[in-house]
Amino acid sequence: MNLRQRFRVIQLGMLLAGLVITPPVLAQSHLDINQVAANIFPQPPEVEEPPANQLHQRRVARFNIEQNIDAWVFNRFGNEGKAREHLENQIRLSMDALDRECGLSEEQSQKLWLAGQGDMARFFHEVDEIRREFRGQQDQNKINQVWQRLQPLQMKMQSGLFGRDSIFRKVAETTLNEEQTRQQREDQARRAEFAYRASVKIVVAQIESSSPLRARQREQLVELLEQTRPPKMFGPQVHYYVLWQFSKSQDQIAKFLDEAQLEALRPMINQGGAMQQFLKQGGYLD
Amino acid sequence: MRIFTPPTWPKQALVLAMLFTATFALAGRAVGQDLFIVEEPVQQEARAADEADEAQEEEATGEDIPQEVIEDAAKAPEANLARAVGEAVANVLNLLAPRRSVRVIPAARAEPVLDLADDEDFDELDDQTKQLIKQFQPQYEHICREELRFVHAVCHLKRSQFQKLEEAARLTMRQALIGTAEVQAQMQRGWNGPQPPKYPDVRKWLEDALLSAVKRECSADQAALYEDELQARRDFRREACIELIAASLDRELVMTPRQREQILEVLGEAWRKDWQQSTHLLISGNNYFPVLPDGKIQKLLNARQSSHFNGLQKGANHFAGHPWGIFGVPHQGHRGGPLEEELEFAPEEDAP
Repeated sequence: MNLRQRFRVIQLGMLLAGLVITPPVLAQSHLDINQVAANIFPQPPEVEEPPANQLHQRRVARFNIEQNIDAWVFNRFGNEGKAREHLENQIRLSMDALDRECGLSEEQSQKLWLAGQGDMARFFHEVDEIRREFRGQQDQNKINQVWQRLQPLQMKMQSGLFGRDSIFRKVAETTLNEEQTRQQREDQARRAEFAYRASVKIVVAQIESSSPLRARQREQLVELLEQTRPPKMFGPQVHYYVLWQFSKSQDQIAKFLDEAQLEALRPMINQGGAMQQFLKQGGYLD
Repeated sequence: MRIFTPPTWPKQALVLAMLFTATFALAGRAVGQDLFIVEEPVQQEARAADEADEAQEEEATGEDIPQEVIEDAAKAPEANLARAVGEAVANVLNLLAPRRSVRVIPAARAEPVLDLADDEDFDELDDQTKQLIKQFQPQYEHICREELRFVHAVCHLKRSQFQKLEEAARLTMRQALIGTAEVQAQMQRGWNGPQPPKYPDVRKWLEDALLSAVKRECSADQAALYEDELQARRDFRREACIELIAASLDRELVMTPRQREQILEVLGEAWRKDWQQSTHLLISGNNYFPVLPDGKIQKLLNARQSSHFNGLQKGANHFAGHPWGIFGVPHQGHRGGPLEEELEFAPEEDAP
């Protein structure tokens, strides 16, 4: 057998080995190549797309874009009409709260109502633009694009249209007099404190999923996190803000948790530490 | 004379692609099975210190690798192949990327408490359920291990007590793991019945099983210590859940401070354990509320708030979220031997 023939035999052997080995190994393997790479060189956690949304993304292919834009954005309410009704109620409830705290004049009420309507108009205009742009599209790449475009709108819908950067809030700041502004800020601070305390407690309860705490340790952790500054806004990712605070406080936490607990919590601490940029983008941090 | 004709490139590319895929799949399997671990510098230092201690200890006692480990390894040629290929890939990657300050190292012997591979029940399950069990197993392992460590920290167990508690925890977590995987598989296949199957409350199962075992195997004082801690934990979960619901309602209804306090009271009085199942939805801002005491809440609200409250989504939620919590941090499995070897136990004769 000459060298060429030997090479052919070796080549055939390799081909057969590849055919025999690859399918069963791939079938048994829990990880794909990307996961292998991710395991070997761990990257910061991908936090921009929560698991629920990834699930949604996978389902996209089965849906018609046009018919489902409404479902993606207004799924909490059923349809656009109900969403509008809900948002108008929220404007009225926010105005009621301001009126209770500071006593609004007729003119102030009208300005605030119009400002709230402005926020709504801006939001629905963005949804309409996406509808127009993607009308009739079936292409998979376009489907992925529409999801990326809708995601911020869905987040906005979840965190509320009348928050920190809204026209409503800006008009409230310029329309209210000094005393009214003071009262409104006090009311907001109390509300934020209430919401933050709830977020801290629920995050501590989640942290215990990785490492159970003794009663005293739990008290200390809650106390420590409650003393941290609340986020700039309360939205669907606020628990990541608390996790970030948890990660920042690890030196103090190390004083009352033992080594095994800290080791068990290490992945969570690392995850929290990698959140800063994400939280800035989401408006939770300056 | 031509003695070598290079093969045509498509054939060569095909062969290389197949070998490359097989190599990576085997390397992936090695990492997935915790045959390899990615270490950061801090962990590297800690490991180096541990290894130095172990080496000293071994020198002193003359301990060698236990025979059963060698036998186990011989029984698993597939794992050995994965280990060999994974080691080769890891070495290449360590050489190529030294600046990343991570090392890919072979894992020490780990002994999963929940390894179901030899379980008779496991063989009878369908492939989908088996796959889900493999997927969930590391997290359940971690939960089981940390709860056992917690019981030991609270009760200062004797070794004999620990062994019995570990057995009880293992049996319960096996059932919970199989139960969860079965429900998950059913849901993945699609569920058309009136009531979806219920997921096991894994944490409650484990806590109840351990409490019952502590009461059976340990002294009354030890049992009281664990029971008190468990009660405090459950009270805290309840409190956290109630406050989360109240804060979520406040975000919708823009309540007064007085109304917030009253809502907390009403929710506390009407508390239902299944509210906890809505926690993961409320946290993620979906504002899908559990079934609440509407009448009592509406009495506290004004007309506009009441109307808005009626329009909120409420209902039973059958999936309580995974027992490892909302952050979804994957536990890469633990390194080292059984938990029993990590703990210091109370002397058998002195402990209560």
